[in-house]
Amino acid sequence: MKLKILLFFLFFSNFSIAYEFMPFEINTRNAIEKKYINQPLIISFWSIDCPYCIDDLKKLGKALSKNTNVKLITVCIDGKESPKKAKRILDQVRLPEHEHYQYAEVDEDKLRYSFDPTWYGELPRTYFYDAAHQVTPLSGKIPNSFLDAWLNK
Amino acid sequence: MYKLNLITKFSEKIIFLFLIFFCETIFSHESHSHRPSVVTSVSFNQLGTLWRVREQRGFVIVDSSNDQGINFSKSINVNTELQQIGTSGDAKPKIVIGPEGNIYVTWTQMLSKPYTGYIWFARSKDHGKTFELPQIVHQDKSEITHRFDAINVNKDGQIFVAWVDKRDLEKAKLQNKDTEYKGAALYYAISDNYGESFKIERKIVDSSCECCRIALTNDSKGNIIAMWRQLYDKGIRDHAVAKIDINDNIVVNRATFGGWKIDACPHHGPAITRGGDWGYHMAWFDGGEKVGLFYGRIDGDAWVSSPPKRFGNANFQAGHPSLLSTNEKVYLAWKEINESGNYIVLAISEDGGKNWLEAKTIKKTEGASDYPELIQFKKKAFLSWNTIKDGYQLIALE
Repeated sequence: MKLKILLFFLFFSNFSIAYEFMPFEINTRNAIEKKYINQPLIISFWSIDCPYCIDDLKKLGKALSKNTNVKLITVCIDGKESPKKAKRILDQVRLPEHEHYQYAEVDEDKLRYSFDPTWYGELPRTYFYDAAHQVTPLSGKIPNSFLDAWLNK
Repeated sequence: MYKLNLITKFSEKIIFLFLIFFCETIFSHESHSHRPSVVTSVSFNQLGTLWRVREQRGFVIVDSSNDQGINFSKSINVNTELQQIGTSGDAKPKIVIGPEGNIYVTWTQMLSKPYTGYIWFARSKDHGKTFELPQIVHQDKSEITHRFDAINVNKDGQIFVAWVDKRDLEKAKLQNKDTEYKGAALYYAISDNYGESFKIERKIVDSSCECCRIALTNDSKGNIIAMWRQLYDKGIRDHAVAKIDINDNIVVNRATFGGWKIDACPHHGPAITRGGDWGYHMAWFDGGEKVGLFYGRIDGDAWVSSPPKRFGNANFQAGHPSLLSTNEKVYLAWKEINESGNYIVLAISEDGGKNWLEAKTIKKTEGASDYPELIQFKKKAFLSWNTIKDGYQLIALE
């Protein structure tokens, strides 16, 4: 019985680590927008290989812990990376509880194009949705002044 | 009855253990991806054999084709131990062939800390039958950024490897200086003995972009000409060129003036190739308000660049260019994306880049694809493009 408990624990601990990311697919944007209709939302695309992304995630985490009405969604664009490695980085950033996705499409260029044809792959890429879902896309590090102004709008 | 019970319990345990083992095997792999990597690099040797390098499940693999990319030999592994190999964004393993016939391969091994890596080099002296034990090109072995390898071999067989390196950034962090170190740096190492060993690495420049590929070519004497995205004042990421001679004299000049101001990883490196006696052809991507793909010429003395000419459709993500020049003919290929898939567009100039014929889509695919590579064999141009759905494509160009 002890063995069973131990093995169960081992199995589920590993299982949960590997599957905490939700798959980000062609239709995910529509699903997110529908789910959070009339709610302010920030979708942040990040990569394990992008130093600016980690800084931005930290900044967003801090700002949103004081602005709990804004929903945060993160998308790791490293579809080829193991979820474990991505999760390890996300854990270091200490974000509040939020939905996190990882690219599930093999054709990452197509996935990016389908999400936003005016995004050319630069990272970080962040989409600020106000309550009416007017979207402001932003490439690169989020300026503090911009974030403050957007949150206080 | 008691025995039967024992047997049943025992079998249950075995089944349970088996189940656990099975699930662990499925879910616990993390060192490398099982997805196929689409990135590919190719070179012709002097006899017209096409040599190809790719990444597969943690190994750099090399194979060759004697019928211009239709059939390939059985591939061989270059690295002996499993590694996580850089294949995302602008990263991919590279292959070049020296004038003496040696085959050289470089790649970036991703280390466990984010953004860190080592630049590896391997050589084959027996026309690809075997590769020698790979070596790390740089002597600095700290677990920091050494990434985005680029390799060039000149007419005399000297090998030049360049990469993005953050040792100066790390040093600046420790010294806690008032002024922040911006970006990364570019370093290079030269081999004068056909890849037996590399001299100690040297710096080309401070404050390069952190995550864009470096483009390399040669001048007529065999000196290195490098082009890369550089971090200029006020966060502007334009391109620079450098001429590096074999005595390590380095001259750096600004090559583009698009003014894309961004604190980000663009993941868009440039292309450069030698034109006539006058200088070089360049192609690059700029973001921001003027977003798009651009072409320009730059002379090799005063390093003055021509006004940029826009190519491709920015609405369809035109980017990731490749350039090839044979006599006065210039080929410029790039990738675009639309709802139905990815495709490669080709533009040709017959007068050294002054005038261009109408650009044409030359190949499409529905699934994932690599960036295009233009290569030549005896002045004949080819487009090399790897796709998941339609396989590897080598297309002879007019």
